[in-house]
Amino acid sequence: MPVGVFTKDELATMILLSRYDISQFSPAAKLLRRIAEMDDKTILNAAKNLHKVNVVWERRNGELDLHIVYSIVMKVLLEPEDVVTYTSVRNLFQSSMNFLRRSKTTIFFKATDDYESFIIGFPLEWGHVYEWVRDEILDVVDEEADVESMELELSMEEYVMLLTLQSMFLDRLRKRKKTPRFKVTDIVKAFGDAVPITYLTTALKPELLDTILNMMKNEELIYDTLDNMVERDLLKIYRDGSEVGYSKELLYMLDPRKILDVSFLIRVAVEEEPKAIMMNFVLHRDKILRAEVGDEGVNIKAYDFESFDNEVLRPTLR
Amino acid sequence: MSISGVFGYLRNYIWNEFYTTPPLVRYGLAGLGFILGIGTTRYGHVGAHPYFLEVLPLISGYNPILGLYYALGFMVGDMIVKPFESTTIPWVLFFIIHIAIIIYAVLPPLFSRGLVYLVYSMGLFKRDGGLPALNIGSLITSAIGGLIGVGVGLWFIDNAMHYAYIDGPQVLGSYPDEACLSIARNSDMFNPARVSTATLFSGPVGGILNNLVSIGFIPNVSRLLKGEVSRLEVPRSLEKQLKKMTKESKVVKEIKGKVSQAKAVKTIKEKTAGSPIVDTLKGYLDKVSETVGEFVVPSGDWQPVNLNLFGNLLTFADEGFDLFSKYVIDKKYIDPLEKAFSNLLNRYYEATYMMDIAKNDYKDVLKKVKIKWNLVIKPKEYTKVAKRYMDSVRKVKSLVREGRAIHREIMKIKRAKGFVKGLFRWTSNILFARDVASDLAVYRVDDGESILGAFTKSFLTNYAVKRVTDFNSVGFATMEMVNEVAFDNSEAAEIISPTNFIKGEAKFVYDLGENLLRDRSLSKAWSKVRKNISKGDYGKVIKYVYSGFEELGEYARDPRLFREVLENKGLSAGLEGVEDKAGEFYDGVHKRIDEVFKVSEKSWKVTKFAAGSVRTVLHGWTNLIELGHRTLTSITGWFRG
Repeated sequence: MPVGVFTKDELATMILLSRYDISQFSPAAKLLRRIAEMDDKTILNAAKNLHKVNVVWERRNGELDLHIVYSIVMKVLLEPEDVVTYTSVRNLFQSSMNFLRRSKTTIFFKATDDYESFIIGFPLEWGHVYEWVRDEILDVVDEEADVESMELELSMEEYVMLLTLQSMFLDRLRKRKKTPRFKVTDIVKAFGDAVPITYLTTALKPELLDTILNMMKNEELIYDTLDNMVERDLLKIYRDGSEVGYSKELLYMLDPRKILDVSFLIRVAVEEEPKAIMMNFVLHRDKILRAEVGDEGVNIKAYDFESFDNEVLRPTLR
Repeated sequence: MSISGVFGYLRNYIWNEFYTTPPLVRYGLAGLGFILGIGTTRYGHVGAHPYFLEVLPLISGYNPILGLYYALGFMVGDMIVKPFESTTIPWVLFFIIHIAIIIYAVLPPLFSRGLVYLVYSMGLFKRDGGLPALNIGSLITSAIGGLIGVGVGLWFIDNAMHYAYIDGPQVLGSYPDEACLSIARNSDMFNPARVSTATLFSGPVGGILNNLVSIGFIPNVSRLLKGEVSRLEVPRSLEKQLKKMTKESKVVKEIKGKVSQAKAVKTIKEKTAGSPIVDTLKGYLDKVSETVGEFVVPSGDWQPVNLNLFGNLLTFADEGFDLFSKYVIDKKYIDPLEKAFSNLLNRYYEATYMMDIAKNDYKDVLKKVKIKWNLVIKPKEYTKVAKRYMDSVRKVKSLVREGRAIHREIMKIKRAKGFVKGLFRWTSNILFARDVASDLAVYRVDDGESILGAFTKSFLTNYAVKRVTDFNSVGFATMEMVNEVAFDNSEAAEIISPTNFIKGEAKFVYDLGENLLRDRSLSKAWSKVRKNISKGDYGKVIKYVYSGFEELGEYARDPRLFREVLENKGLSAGLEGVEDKAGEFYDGVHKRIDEVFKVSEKSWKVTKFAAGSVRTVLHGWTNLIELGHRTLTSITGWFRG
């Protein structure tokens, strides 16, 4: 598998030379601003450098053009039919890994950690993508562990409440308080202080953002949600209802102390109407949690590695 | 270069250190300071603690927050041990010395870092790239900074000591510390050897230490503990930090302009000048300071200044601040900011939409670009479209920056609110600790209990008072204030005071329980506690109620007595002033009323009026009851006769 390493300016010049459409799903689309900033001298210098390594050829009319191999690579990179991106919190300071496919050609694209150079590997087989991601997850999760699969159906409000409680729980853990119990007044205050807003980055759905803003404005919605969760035995009441705490099942699933990594897998199939699958997995030593945000509610499910592999990973990346 | 820039830089430095220093190290050093402070010294002399003032600049030079915690730990230890030291100085005055020590703790690193920053921002000793370098210039600058910091800090301590030992007691109506008077200023009070060691060694070394930490030559404690020793980064250039700190978005500037503090203060001053309310308040405060002075015993035993009034005022201030923050701060400062934020959100959505359109146009133009060996051929509209695209990107970026600035501003106000609330909480905690300490001394000396026993009793009783008064803090504080103002320090005040009453009850329950556990017999425990009741140990209320019950018991044991009171010589005899059993009984009641509601010559007019009017009303009620009683017996006697 040949691997090409290009600087930011070189890749930008290659995009200029290729003259393909730049799909918004291409990871190279971020370079558009760099192209707009580049002056003619930089472009010509980069073109000359690329000419030295036979990436750029000169046509008879004096115009420069890409080598046919790199023309194909740029076609896949800029107009992909299928994009898979995988990254995780453990590797927060590294750029994400991208796999791109157009018809039967698959390439690998990754920026270096300082985002100054780019690595392009080609050609790949599509099956490699599944194996790559599987190995990344196996690095954290124990393959042998056997866990009963559990499932939680939550409404949007309950999901937002759970996010807030998790953040409050983390705060408590930082203060060496290990019990997941919260004063109701503190919960209301957390909404006042816009704690859930900090989760906006994970709020991929606009419905979720609306729910957060609604709950921040309407205090009664917070109390109603807490009541519902207590009725469903997700939360327990302490001190005559002035405090609530996690039930055992909830703590087993969501204990932040057990989280080893949180990873994100995005697959976009670019068709007439692009279909995007965005997943994030919370990785424990023995299990993997997956939250599916639907239109009206959220489904949180816990898998062991084998069932996760069969039910989620393989069907997603096949 | 600007002085205000230095202050901004130092403020960020302190916050950064505060948030990154691990709590375990902070509390560990506070514990060390506590252990040093708990040792006693001659005359309770704070400066006489060995290895404290010398080491402090070294610790704070390394990390000012650690120095601060070290000083605070020392303060707690020293203040706890003060009542047991041989000094006549009121306890409170030692706080002044400790405040000076805290200033001394923070000044050396601030002066050192501030001076280095100032010199670098002037462009001196700069290595290429603007990075502060490990050179002789920066070392000397930081050493001079540390020296100045320690010098200024010692000046504060020297003056605070002089005030606490000589001037302060006189202001509070006591005498200056006789033992220390002869060796006051410029002699043993402030050990010259210690001063020179601290200034000439610890100051410069602390300053240099701070410089070495700032340029990464010595790793910072937070990084060390996070196991990141291997990945120590080169610190950012000071100039970059300066730019980051002094940059403020337009929105924040606008908002700041609207809420100019100086203007508000000026208006308040103008409006309250010559107001009758302010004058009355001033007069009242004068009176209060006079009263506080009366409580201080001039010489001999140590006696705390009465701080009840202060505690009650604190409760009002706390409640008042809650209302103020709800109706003024939230409405006037936070609401407009939040409105500005939601407004900004809409503008942000709009800008991203425009950016997408510009981006698509730019993509289309890009396809028409051709490159030759020495020439890039661009279509005519290229420059215009590219500029539009870049402008839209810049706009989105600036909106994000503004949003962050507004959020920072909101958090700043919320943090300030939290800080004030914390101040109230900690002051009330200090008052609580002082109550516990003073009661501990009383139980230890008067009741002869062991230190542990006295502490447990003192803590539990005071805690009971705190918890009960917390139910309605404002209500209880009002009762206490009215009581204190109206009845001064008369016996009536002691009876009416709710905290006194609660403390008495708690003490009673504690003693009864303790004796029960020890003797395992109710009668034995009761007989011990009964003695204390009649002594008035559990407050006057329980004493009078108990004596009333005892008298009732006498009547119950001998029904003849009761009958004699009931059967009297009738109304006419009563009006003539003939003394019979009923007359004796009511005379007893009148006597008790006079005992309780007595006032001294010195008492305030308010007290005299309040006590007098209550006394008159109670006498009137007793007379009315006697009249009714005698009328009834006259009528029954007439029927019978």
